[in-house]
Amino acid sequence: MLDKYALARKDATYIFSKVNRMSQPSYKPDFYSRAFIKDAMPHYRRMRELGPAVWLPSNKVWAVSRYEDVKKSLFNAESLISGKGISANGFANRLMSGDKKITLTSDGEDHMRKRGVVGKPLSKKGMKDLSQQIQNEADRLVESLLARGRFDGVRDFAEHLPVQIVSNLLGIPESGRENMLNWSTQSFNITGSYNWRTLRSIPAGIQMARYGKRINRDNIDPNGWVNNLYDAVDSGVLEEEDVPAMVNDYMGPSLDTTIIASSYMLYLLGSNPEAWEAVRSAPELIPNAVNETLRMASPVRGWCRYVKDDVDLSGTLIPKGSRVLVVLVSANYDERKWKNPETFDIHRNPRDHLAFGFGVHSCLGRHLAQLEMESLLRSMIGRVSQINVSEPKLALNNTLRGFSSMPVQFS
Amino acid sequence: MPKVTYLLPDGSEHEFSLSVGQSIMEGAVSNGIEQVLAQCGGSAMCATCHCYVEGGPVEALPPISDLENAMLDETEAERKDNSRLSCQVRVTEELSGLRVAIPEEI
Ligand code: HEM
Repeated sequence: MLDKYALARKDATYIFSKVNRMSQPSYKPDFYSRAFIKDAMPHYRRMRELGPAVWLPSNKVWAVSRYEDVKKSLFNAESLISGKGISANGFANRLMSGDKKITLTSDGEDHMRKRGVVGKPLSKKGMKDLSQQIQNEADRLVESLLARGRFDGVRDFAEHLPVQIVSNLLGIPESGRENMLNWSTQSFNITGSYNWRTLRSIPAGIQMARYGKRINRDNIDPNGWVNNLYDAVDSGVLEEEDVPAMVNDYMGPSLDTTIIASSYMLYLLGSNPEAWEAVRSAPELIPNAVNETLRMASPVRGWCRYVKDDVDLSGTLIPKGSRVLVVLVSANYDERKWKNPETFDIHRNPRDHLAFGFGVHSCLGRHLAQLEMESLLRSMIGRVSQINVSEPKLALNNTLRGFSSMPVQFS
Repeated sequence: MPKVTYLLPDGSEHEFSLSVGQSIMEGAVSNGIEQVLAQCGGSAMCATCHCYVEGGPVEALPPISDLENAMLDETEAERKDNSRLSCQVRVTEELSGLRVAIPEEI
């Protein structure tokens, strides 16, 4: 076994684990480096080949990158906890493990209580009231872009619904709405290992925390999502002091992720004209298009967990006290799970993709994200016959993968 | 092994043998019933494994916990008196013969 792996991959070296006295695969490239991010797929493939869990010496974490093992790890929230931070650097992890935690970094009972509150306005049922508003806005957007000719697939197309509608649904004071997109982008940088992107994101993190503290009952919209946190305080489920941090449950993950997925959808349909033709003639393929996009886009590369007790992951022992990096994007391209993972196949409906994570922390905003993406496609179907996309520009972010710009033309 | 019958939205019926201790959700997922998404993996956290209990030894069902009760209010398909989260029902010998319907939009 050992020889085969070692010969197969020159990057692969083996470390000798004191814990279970078995050879553990290790993989040297820095997961958060520019070179890795720019051409990541071959790295993920090598990490999957090496084993269920692979030590990354440059990042000092164990990476889990096969579909089944990612699912298993996320399901095991008893031993692989979020409460000591989900970053690959100690500074951000200390920030995240204070006693006022957001839902994303809470565990156990505390997490359950918060998740119930945050999820309330985001349920599939809640989306029913929103769907007409979002559809109307998507219709207007697509019509104006058609009239315009060339536009930017990220700024003009993908950012529109999240920035115009979602940021307003929170019901927070103006300066927050204006800065939210930048803060949110930076908060995805802060979860990497130490590098200049991580460091550069710290001021935004501080601004965001400061803004959260200025929010109070009098400066928010009584019908917005954030007000729902105060309702929970009134009914005794949350404490008043929980609110400032938990505003980030809505502000942090709700914009960039959806923006990336929506621009990626345009990219995939533009580069696969026969798939767009198929969706146009059979709109019942819309859910396939959205799920296949989410699988291939995987806007969140991965996040970490703290190993509370020794964990045996498909035969590899991960010692207590270490950190595990759960690589969602790799799971979504795992050839053990998906046939031709790099092909955009409009005839499969990969509902069990892991772009939204899995287990107790699985994304609470997925119904909203899916609603936005489906609405955009419904607006395009009757109006856009061709999507011409030019080479997109990759955004460099430690945790998000996606485009920063992409010239597009509808006709 | 206890048997459970799943009634699918297309009108088809499928009977599977489950191991004691397996949940109705796990029985569905492991037998390829795609409607059951079970996004949270069986922790009563997502309401994507909603089902209706249509018949069989319903008196042997476990009671609905507070958590399950709260999540059942969030389902897409209408909540009815016979609504359950299939991840919260673990099969026992007594439950053999249970019939559950999977809604189209869970
Ligand atoms: C395509 C868009 C989106 C993607 C790919 C995405 C991805 C994710 C992922 C991977 C997680 C799991 C984190 C973990 O396990 O540590 C997560 C959690 C979460 N997401 Fe999303 N997300 C998206 C959209 C949204 C939106 C629109 C919202 C809010 C309006 C949102 C709110 C949340 C919240 C509150 C959590 C924390 C849940 C918990 O810890 O229990 N997300 N998301």
